[in-house]
Amino acid sequence: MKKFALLTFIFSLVLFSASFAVEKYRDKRISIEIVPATKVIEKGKTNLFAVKVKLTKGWHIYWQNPGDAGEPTILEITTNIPNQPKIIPQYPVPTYKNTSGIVTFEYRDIVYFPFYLWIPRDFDKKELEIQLKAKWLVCKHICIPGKAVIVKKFRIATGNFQFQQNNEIFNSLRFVPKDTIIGEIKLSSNRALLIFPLNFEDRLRKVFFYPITEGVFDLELEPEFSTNGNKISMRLPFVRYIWGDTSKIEGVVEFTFYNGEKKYFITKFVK
Amino acid sequence: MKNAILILMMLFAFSFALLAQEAKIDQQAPDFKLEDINGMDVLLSDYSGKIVVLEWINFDCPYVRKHYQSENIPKMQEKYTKQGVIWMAICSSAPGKEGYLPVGEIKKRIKQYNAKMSFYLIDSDGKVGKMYGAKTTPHFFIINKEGKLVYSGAVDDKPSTNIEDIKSARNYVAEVVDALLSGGNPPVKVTKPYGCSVKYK
Repeated sequence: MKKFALLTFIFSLVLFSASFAVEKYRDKRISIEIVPATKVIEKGKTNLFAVKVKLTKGWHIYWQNPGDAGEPTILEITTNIPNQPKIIPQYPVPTYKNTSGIVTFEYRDIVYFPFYLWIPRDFDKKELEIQLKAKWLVCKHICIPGKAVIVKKFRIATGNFQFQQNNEIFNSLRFVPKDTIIGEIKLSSNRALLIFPLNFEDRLRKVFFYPITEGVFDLELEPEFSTNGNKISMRLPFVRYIWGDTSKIEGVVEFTFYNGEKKYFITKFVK
Repeated sequence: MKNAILILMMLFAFSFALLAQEAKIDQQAPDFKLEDINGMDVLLSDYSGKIVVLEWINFDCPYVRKHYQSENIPKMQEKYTKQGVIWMAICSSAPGKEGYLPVGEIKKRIKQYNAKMSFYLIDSDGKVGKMYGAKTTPHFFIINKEGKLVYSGAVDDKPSTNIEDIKSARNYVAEVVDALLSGGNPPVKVTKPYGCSVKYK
């Protein structure tokens, strides 16, 4: 009984402490912080920041669609800038992992989730306060859910400073899809044909689709693709039990060219 | 000679049909035979005419623990098995992977959680799990009295490990079984399963 009470107390303490705002969250498996892309934060400019997640070797978290198992990583940003709506950072393209037929979209090692903030010229605070609400499931052989509120204050520059930047954040932008393309979707009994209005001069080697809409496609099979004039078509088989909404398909498409270059687009398909 | 070839061909076709079996909603649930923790062979088709609940399980998964520590699943097991429902908990964890436990430990956990499943079945090669497309623990499949698979998905609509969420959750499994017991149609057929991945070999 005493042991149970002690365990309950420790568990409550962990939960209680997890709900406190911290400048940086850190445990044995994961650390999370807000980092600026430039040393100087300026008014009247769009400043780039990122949520930096560092995972201990062997551990991973999930993309916005975790895949067949796991839970999405949820990140929400608010600030002390007046009338600034809630910001969802951008999710870089995840790593595809197939474990005995269970496909997941994961992040390992270090991952940056970038976001831009416009600070008005008339912003009257000396410090910019950014609050991050984060929720995740970190897994290795076991999965451990976590959540944290992280608050970081950044001094706003008042004079001219030497411009220094965090190159890791700028480099990470390469893995974040920027442009959105509206495609067409044709559904048959066992698969979907996704049609992109795109034409590349370079030869395509591979096309891959990371669905944001969950529960529609069988993630295990590599999609077939073909090019025809100004269109690229991709065939994706349906999952055995469809529970997602087939009328609103969203995802990220990854085009790999023969020269090794990759391009990413956010895609939305309409029937 | 001709007869021998014919028999061989039939045998081949039969084994191919067995291999090609795949569970699909609104279709006949594929049959299987698995050993339970008491060494008894359990054949799904032996329970035709009954409502059968298949629950993929891994006692070490925090999502499974949520529903067992809270007694959410054990209470459903007790309630529905008393009404003639057959509740099969199936563990597809491969030896050496999370959830693959010695029989003594499984029995200990069943007692600890006051679980009341009809059978705890061992599927360590994962064949039945893959035949049904079990992705997570827990993941539920419900078969009606006619032997058709009528539900695949989560236990409820709150994909978390927080026990407190159970109170406000919509319990899909209870809704489907209640509907079947009263002779009606399940209010939902497919939902998103949530939990740990099944630890197949």
